[in-house]
Amino acid sequence: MRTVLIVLLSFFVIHLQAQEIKGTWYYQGKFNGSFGRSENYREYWGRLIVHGDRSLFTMKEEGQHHAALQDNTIDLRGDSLFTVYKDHSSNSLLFEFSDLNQKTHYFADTLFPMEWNTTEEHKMIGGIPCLKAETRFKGRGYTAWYAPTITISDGPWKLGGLPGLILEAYDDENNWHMTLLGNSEAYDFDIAFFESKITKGIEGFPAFVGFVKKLFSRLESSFGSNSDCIGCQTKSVLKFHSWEKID
Amino acid sequence: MKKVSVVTLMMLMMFSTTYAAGSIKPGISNLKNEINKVKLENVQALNKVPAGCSVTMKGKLDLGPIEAEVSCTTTAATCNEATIQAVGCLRAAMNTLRTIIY
Repeated sequence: MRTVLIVLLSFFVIHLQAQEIKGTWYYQGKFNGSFGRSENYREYWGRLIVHGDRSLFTMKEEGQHHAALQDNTIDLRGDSLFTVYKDHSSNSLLFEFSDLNQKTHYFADTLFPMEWNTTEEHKMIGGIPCLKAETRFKGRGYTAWYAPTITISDGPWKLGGLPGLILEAYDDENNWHMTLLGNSEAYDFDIAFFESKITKGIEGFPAFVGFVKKLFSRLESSFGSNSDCIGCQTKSVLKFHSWEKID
Repeated sequence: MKKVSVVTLMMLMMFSTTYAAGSIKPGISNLKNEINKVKLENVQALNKVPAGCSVTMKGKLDLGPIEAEVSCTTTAATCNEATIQAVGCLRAAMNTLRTIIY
């Protein structure tokens, strides 16, 4: 009888472990499109859809795209920003980049390469106890508040790899900030689309850097040879900035 | 005759000491420096912008996590003039960007 009970309990534990965590975690936050050079904050909704080992994070702007209304800004932002697909089982991460023609490109990156400094500092987010962790990633310092009680080693954008879901994350200058609002049981997203990209083979971060640099130099050379300001005494200067360090 | 020779010798010594110490040469060099300074000041005066005002105007091409920033800095006698020039420069630059993109 005792043996039967132990076997049943073992099956129950194995079943619990094998059960996939599914659901959507909703975040709210902001992003400064000028990355600290000036104040250009916009409000965003973030969404992390988790389906077992796979997840998809996207950020969409709340309300109207204000930049489109300004004369001195050409707004070519994609419909969603910071879109990242993660597959823990194959140790893969894909991220999206929208070019000048608003064509979407996907590149691979390392899944959770960041080394976190975990601390004992704690706070409650939406009634969930969270612990603080800090890291440096691609030229910026980030702080994350993760919930050890939610056993999902994931978070907004490329962040993750902590022993719990990241409920709040922000960079040192607070140019990007995401805080959890709530969650739902919905978990649908097109996994097959991303898996097919991985299967076909996808270029990594160095290829992304090369792509962006090529795009910039093309823009720079066209810009240099296309001055249509007759009588202008001053020549304009073109500079490029990237959220992730790309040099 | 002996006195004359001693005086002449002393004068000769003084001259050679002064020359060796370089007190004549720097004098000429200082004069040259002064002349160059005046020349430089004249050149600067020709190129000088009278009591200027500098204005910088910026525009951008926003791709989200990537941004191309265009800036125009102009200096003119008055801020109004500088602003007009900067606006013209930036407008042209943004038009150029639009032409490249669209």
